[in-house]
Amino acid sequence: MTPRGSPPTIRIAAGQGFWGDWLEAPYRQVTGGPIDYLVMDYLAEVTMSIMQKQKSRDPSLGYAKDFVPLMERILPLLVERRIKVVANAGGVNPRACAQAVAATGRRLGLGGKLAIGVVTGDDLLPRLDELLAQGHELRNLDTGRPLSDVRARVQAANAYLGAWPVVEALRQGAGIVITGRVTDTGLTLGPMIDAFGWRPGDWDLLAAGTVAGHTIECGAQCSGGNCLVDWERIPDLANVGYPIVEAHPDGTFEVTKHPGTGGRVTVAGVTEQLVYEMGNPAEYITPDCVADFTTIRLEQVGRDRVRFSGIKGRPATDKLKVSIAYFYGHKAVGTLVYAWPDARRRPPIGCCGSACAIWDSSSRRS
Amino acid sequence: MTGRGRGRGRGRERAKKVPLLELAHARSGDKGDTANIGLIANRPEYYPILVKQVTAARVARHFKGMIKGNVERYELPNLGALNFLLHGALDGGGTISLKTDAQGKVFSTALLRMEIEGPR
Repeated sequence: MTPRGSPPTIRIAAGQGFWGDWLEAPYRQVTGGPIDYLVMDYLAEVTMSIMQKQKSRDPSLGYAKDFVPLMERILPLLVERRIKVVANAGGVNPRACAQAVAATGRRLGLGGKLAIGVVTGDDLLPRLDELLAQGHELRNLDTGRPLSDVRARVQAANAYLGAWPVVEALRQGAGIVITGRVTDTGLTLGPMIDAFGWRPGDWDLLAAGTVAGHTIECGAQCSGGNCLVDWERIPDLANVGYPIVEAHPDGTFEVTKHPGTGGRVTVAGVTEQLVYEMGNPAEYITPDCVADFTTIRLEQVGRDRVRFSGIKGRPATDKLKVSIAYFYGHKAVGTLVYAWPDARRRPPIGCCGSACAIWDSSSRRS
Repeated sequence: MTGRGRGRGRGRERAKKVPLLELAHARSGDKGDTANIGLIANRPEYYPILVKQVTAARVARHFKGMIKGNVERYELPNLGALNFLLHGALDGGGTISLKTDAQGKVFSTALLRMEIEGPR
C-alpha cells in the first residue's frame, strides 16, 4: 500500500479526540464510507499520570483499555477493507496494549493477517535522574523552575514524539500502529509522509500535514461540535460525523465527513478549531516542524467540505517537549443534596464559602 | 445594546455600541497556566474593526481580576482572526487549578460580552 506511484489522495479519518470519547465514532468512520487510515488520539497531559498510576498497580495496564474492545469490534473490517490504524492508545505501556490487541486478533482468527507496530521511547520516567545528572534541568515552561524542585513527587514523564516513528512503523508494514506519547498532529502527519513519500526538510508539506492533524485531533470539535456560529441549526449533533482529511501529495487537503452524518463542516467551524489551544500562530511548534497558521487559506468548496491550501512551515527545533506530572495534593468536587422540607433554607448551614451567598440570596425569596 | 456613555465627540454620528457577540465568534483553550482566545470575525469587513478596537490592553481590562499575567495579541488576517494569550489565567494550570472552569473554556464567550463601536 505504500509509495510506489503515490496515490493522488488518501483519506484519514479521526475516530477519537480524547480518552473517553464516543466509541461509536471510530466504528462509524470505518463503516460509513471509504477511508484509508483511522487515527485516534487518547492522550492529554493528565491522562499520562492516570495511566502511570494504573501501571504501578498492575504492570500489564497503563494504556487506554477501551481501545481493545473497540479493536475487537472493527478488526475484521480493517483487514477486509485494508484500513490502517494509528493510535496513541498505548499510553505508558504501548507493548501491553499491542499484546492485548494481538491476542484479540488471534481469537478472531486473524492471526497472520495483522501486523502491529509499536512506538516506544517517549517514556522518560526511568531516565529522569540520568538526564538531570547530565545537566538537563528540565525547567517548567510556565514558571521556569527546574525539575529538581518536584523530582521526588514525579509520577510520569513523557517526551512528545512526532510523526517519524509512526512513519517507520508503517514502512515496516504495520497495519496497526500503537504508540505512547506521540503528538496528536503526528498521528495524522505520519500516514501522509508514508503515503506520499514526503522527506525531512519538506517543511511546507510537513506543516500542511501538521495543520491537518491539528484540525481533526479533537474529533467532532471541527465538524459542528462546540461551534458557536448558527449552532442551533447544526443538524443532528447526536449523530455527529467525525472529520475526515482527504489529503493530496502537494500538501493541500480537504476536511469533510461521511455523508448522512450529523454536524457541519464549514469555514467558521474549522476556524474555531484552528485557533483552539493556539499560542503564537506563526510558530506552531511540533517535533516535526514549525507550522505557520497565518499562511492557511480556507475555502468552502462544497457542502461539509473545506479546502486548505497555502500552508508554509519552517524547520523543526532541536528540542522535544516533555510532559511531566507530579503529585500536588488532592482535588475533589462534590455535590450535596438537600431534600424537602425546607430544602432551600438548609444549605447555608451545611456548606461554606461563596456558594452560600448565592444560596442565601435565592432562599430569601422562598 | 444601546449606546451607553458619550461618543468621543469628533464624529458627527455616534457609532453604536454593540457586544462583540454580534461581530465575532470565538473559542478558547489552555496550555499550562495560559488560556487562549481565538476571536474570529463573522464577516471579512468586521476584521479591521476587531483589530482596531479589541486591543490586548482592552482585553486585559475586560478580564481584570480574573488573570494574573499580561495579555498578548496575535493577528491572523488570513482567517479574519485575532489570538489572545491570557497569561496566569488558570490558577496554575488546568491540572492543579481550583477554578470552576479549570481549562478556561468560557473565556471565549466571556470576551464576546465586551462592547465595542460597531460598523456604521
